[in-house]
Amino acid sequence: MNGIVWIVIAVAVVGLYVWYAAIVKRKNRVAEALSGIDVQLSQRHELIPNILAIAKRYLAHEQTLLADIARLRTTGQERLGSADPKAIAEKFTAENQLTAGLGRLFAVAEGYPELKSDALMVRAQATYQEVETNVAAARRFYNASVTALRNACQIFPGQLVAALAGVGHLPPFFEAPAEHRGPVNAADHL
Amino acid sequence: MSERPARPGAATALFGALALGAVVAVAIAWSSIHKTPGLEGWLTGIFAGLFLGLMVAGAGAWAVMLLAPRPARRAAEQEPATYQPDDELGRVLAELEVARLDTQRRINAGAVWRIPLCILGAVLLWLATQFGDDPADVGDLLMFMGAGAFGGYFWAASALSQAYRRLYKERVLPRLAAGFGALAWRPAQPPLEEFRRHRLFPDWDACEAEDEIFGDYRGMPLSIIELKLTKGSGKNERTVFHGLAAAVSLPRGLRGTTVVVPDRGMFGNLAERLRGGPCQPVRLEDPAFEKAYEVYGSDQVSARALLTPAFMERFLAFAGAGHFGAPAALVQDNRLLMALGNMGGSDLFEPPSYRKPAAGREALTRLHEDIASVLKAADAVIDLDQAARLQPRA
Repeated sequence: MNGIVWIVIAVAVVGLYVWYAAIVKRKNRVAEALSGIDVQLSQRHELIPNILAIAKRYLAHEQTLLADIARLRTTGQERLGSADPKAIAEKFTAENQLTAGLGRLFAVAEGYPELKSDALMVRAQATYQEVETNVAAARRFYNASVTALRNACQIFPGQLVAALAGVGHLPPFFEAPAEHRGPVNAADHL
Repeated sequence: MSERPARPGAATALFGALALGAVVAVAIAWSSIHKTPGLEGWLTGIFAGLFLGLMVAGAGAWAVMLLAPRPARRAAEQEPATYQPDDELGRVLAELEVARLDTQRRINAGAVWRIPLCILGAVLLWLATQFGDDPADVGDLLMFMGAGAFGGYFWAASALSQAYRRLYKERVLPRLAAGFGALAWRPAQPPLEEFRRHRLFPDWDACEAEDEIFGDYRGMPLSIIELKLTKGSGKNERTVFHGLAAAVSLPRGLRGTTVVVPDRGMFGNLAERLRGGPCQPVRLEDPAFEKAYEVYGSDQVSARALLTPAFMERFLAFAGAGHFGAPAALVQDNRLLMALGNMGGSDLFEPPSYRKPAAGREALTRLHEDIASVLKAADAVIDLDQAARLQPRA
């Protein structure tokens, strides 16, 4: 009888350890994905001053929008590297606001043919598109990692070992900006 | 009635065929008399010898008429309708026609003595069997002689026809490809080591790859290779892959290596993961894509930057269209290589035989269509990526 009890205890301990190791691995994967996002966001931040400099030459009447973008960029820049879940969530919100601001800027640029056809602006916009694709890819990697970590922590016996593995608050998802979740123009993809 | 011009050397060759027939007749008669002494053996030997001797002489005469070079006037009369190429290609085809006629002349010259020699060898071999315990019969002799004739012709034609084939490809295909833009042709050099290292295909032993169309297409560097990979040999040989390896350099800023291969089942995927290496599994959000394909990447973000939801959807649609079977992809930095299988067993870029005119319309049209069809495949590959598909078409 004692033997069976010890075997059950041993199996439970081994099972908990395997679960603990899985949570640690997934926590590290989230950290890796988060740093990947920071790399891409940093590239986006480096590109913004160039875009603003080109836009300033043509958009004299849109100084408020340009100033807003510059401010949001500074805010986003300050929050890069934060590891606390609350700060991460704020960072994502700020970045989404920045994405929306840039979206407005490019929409306004549509009304200025000279700016739209400026060679530097065309190149900056193409680079921005590439950076945005990479930000989206990093976001998908991060969200997939967060999902895996959440599953490991929230499914029994994950709750028992999550704290031991150093996972207090679960990291937030990085939601896509609202305008990216809207209906898609099929003609752009055909 | 017009007078037919004489064929040079035909009389000598005809005499040779008759002499060979006589040798065969005597050999059969002698063999029959030796095997069955008495009247029966004599009669069988004489009649069978005469019959087979006449057949050999007749076949020889037919071969002579077939192989002897035709006079130029006759050749011009029999020429089929030819394709009207531009001046430069026309000059090349004219040069090739000279090379073809020279190849034909050299093959025929070689066949004139190689075929009889091989037939004679076969007859001697047959005679040798008459002294053994199980002598071959007269029917076997015909088989021996047929094989000898075939062997002799193959001996005469093999190397020369290969050389002509190579020359035709080297001279014609680059010019036909140039008609489609900044493209050319060259002998293929597939990156087999990379295929093996990244396990793009199931294990293979041998590779056949002759042709590569390369150059700039829709503003991007392009390379398309016709590829055949096989495993095993002889009766156990099976085709692992037969299709196109189309590589295009995308206008992107991708990094690292990403491999997309058809799902290999639970154990196949597990074995793949246990092998390790720099590429780790990449989990994607599209359940249909996840079910159909396994993705490995050295950079998780870069793999997803390429495999956007739109890319995955197009990839699945492409696979489902039924033209190429389930494709596989190898992405190294910005270079996307797609392996498109299911060619239906047909070979592309096959030049015409040396027996047909170099400027024959049918062969030129087929080669032109082959290039057009591989470029269609290139279009499909390019259109998978949103940034690449926005490039202007040529």
